[in-house]
Amino acid sequence: MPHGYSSLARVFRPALFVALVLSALLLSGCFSTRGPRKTERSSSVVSYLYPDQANPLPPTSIPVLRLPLRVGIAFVPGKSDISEQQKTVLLQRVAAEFKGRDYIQSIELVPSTYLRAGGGFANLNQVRSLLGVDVIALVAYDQVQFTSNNLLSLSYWTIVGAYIFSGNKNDTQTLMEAAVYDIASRHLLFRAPGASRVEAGAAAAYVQQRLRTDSTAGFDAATTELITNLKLQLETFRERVKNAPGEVRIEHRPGYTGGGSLGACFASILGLLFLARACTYTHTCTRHRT
Amino acid sequence: MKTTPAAPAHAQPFPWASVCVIAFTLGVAAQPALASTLLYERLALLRGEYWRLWTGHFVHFGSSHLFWNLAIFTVASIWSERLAPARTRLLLVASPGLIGLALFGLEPALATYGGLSGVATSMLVFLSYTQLARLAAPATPNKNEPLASSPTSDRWFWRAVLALVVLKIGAEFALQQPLFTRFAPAGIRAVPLAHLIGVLVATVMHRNLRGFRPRFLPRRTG
Repeated sequence: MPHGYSSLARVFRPALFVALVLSALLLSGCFSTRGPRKTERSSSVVSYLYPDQANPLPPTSIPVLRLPLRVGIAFVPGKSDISEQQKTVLLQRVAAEFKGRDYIQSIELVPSTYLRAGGGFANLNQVRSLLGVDVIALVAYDQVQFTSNNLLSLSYWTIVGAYIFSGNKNDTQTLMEAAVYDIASRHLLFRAPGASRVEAGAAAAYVQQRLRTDSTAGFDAATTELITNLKLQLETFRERVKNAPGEVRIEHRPGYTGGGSLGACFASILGLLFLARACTYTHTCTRHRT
Repeated sequence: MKTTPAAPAHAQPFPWASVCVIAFTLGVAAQPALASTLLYERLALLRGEYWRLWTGHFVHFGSSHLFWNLAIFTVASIWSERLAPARTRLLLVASPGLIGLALFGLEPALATYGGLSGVATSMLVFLSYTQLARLAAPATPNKNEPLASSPTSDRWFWRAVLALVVLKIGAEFALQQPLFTRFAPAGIRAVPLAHLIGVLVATVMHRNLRGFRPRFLPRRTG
């Protein structure tokens, strides 16, 4: 080997090594090898309804609910990257819970464009006039996503490992809440929460995609729990109205549809009575004959 | 217990009025287009379409609504018409109109109404009264109602039927919701006032028109 070449190699070998290490670091830096990361998306009923009030005054008038009710459902505007389509799907699921109840006349899904951040009751009154709703269910959410590395993330140094091994651990925690307000009296009628936690692993190359999937799954699971609690709260509210009529006044809207119905249960009780009578009658006749 | 044998079947009048009402109700159900013309609608009544006071009762909001109302009406009305034909027929003519009129006067918030239950309640209560009266006075036959002296039922049963009707109406008024029933279409409320008026009409008919027979019809002898 010529002398000149060996001295050149001696000079460049460490440089080559450093270059290789740097390029590996730079490439792996494209993937997630840093500490835990946090993504948050949320909206708040309080900041929407009382944007500039530290101590909002409680409403003084008694809410008057005129049955059957016209209900609106809306997502509270907030810092979010949830698509309008996703919001609509979630709202439709909540709306389905209200449908088919004889004290509810109609349910309107209020698009996000109708509500502005910090709009308060003034904004709700606009919605009330525009869409003709009496009561609104405001759906707020708080979703936090954490991403951290586990031992498998060491495989990211190989670059290929970043596509194969799930070296990232995602944790998605979602809290949703539906607060049902009587717009006219500004009273909170009832509220129902729903929470979920989704944990999943992902390879570095697919972390963002996985986080989006987890976010959707988190909202879905939280909505399912929200719906269960909503049913419960709705029944509790009905009982509360019955037991404490001073708390909420119920009136019937002029122009309701009424039906005269005796029903299967009433007919069945009558049938049972008739059967009992027939048995007694037959028994007495038999005794008379003997 | 009184067990006087019932009159022979050939002596019992054919319940043609009840059959006509049943046929009409089924006809209306089979032709839904008729509902808009016959349904009790407050605005239409204010426009002068007074027939709706009568005909609204024969329009129903679903097959279940129709079935159970008609089931009770059929039994009560046919039985009642065979026992007391003249008064039952008068009740069949009067009660729909009187119930409709009462709803119009006393329930101004009621925009639309349908269902035979008010009339069926009226018939059921009238039948119970008639049976109780027959059990109380079995020996005096009524010329106009030839079967009046043949009780076939027990007092406890008819009293229980009356109690059940009263309980249902009372509970519906108190709870502001139907006690034993649920409407298939959402947004339809039960109207216990219709049942209450039905009971009142039957009570008045029973108490004040015993032995009633229209003058233009020949009196039965024996």
